[in-house]
Amino acid sequence: MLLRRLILASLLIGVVTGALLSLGQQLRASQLIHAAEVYEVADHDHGEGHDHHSHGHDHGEHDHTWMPADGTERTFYTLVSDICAATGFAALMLVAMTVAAGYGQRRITPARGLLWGLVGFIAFFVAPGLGLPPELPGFKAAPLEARQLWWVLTVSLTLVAFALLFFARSWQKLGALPLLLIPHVWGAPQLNGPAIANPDPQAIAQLEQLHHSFIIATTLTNAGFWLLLGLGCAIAIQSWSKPHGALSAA
Amino acid sequence: MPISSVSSPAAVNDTALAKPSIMQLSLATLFGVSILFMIGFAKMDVAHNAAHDTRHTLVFPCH
Repeated sequence: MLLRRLILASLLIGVVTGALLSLGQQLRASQLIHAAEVYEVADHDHGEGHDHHSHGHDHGEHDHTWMPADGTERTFYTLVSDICAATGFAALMLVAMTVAAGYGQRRITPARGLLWGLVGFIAFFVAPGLGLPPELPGFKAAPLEARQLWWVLTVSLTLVAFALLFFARSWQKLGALPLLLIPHVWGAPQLNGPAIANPDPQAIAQLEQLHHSFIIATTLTNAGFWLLLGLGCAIAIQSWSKPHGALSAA
Repeated sequence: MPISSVSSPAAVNDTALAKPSIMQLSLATLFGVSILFMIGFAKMDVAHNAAHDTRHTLVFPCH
């Protein structure tokens, strides 16, 4: 039951790395998100998919849908979301590693797992983040659907580029370069006009400062998360390929 | 005569990994992508509100 093993392993890795991701996130990134929400202003005229609410401190203006209360409940739902996201990323990485090991005859070691994690960090955080830097509440951006489309395209092309770089033969590796560059030459959807809705100069200064800190915090948090994820997936793959691992029992 | 490397347990050495079928790999990929879609992209307010801080931290386009 290889499929069951893949799913169970991604759940296990997802719980561990997702919990650690959440812990790292609570140290800084979440605090910065909450701090930025203080400067959020209602933006009713802004028809760019802002059907959300200002999360947190200000319940009840126009939101009737459920949302977690600030404090423990919000932290809990963030933890669950982090674990789910980590499980999803783990499933994709385990599939990729399985293909590399089973079809590409590549050895997956914990040390190489870190390299896989680095690739995940670049593909899922650095590449999309170059065009669409980590966002804080209180900032406006281009229409959501356009950014989501650019995000998916950028991540996909970057992943294909790394696959070519590592698995293609000789000159075919060159194909990676245009794939890496295309999304950034094309350019991420950008907002016309000021990015901060709050007109107060002091709020603008605060939000810019918070945003700078947020970029650093998320970069460190994501880097740590992806390295752990790569390590965890590599250890799982390695354990399956040993004579006494799950492989021989399957 | 073709040699099957997975038909016999004796053929499994300490570095070889059993090859899952394309179907198994596709289903595992679908599993991963579906979760990530729910956490990172779903437009439902409830999904957005629950995963709000995760979306911001993992650089998914939010709002």
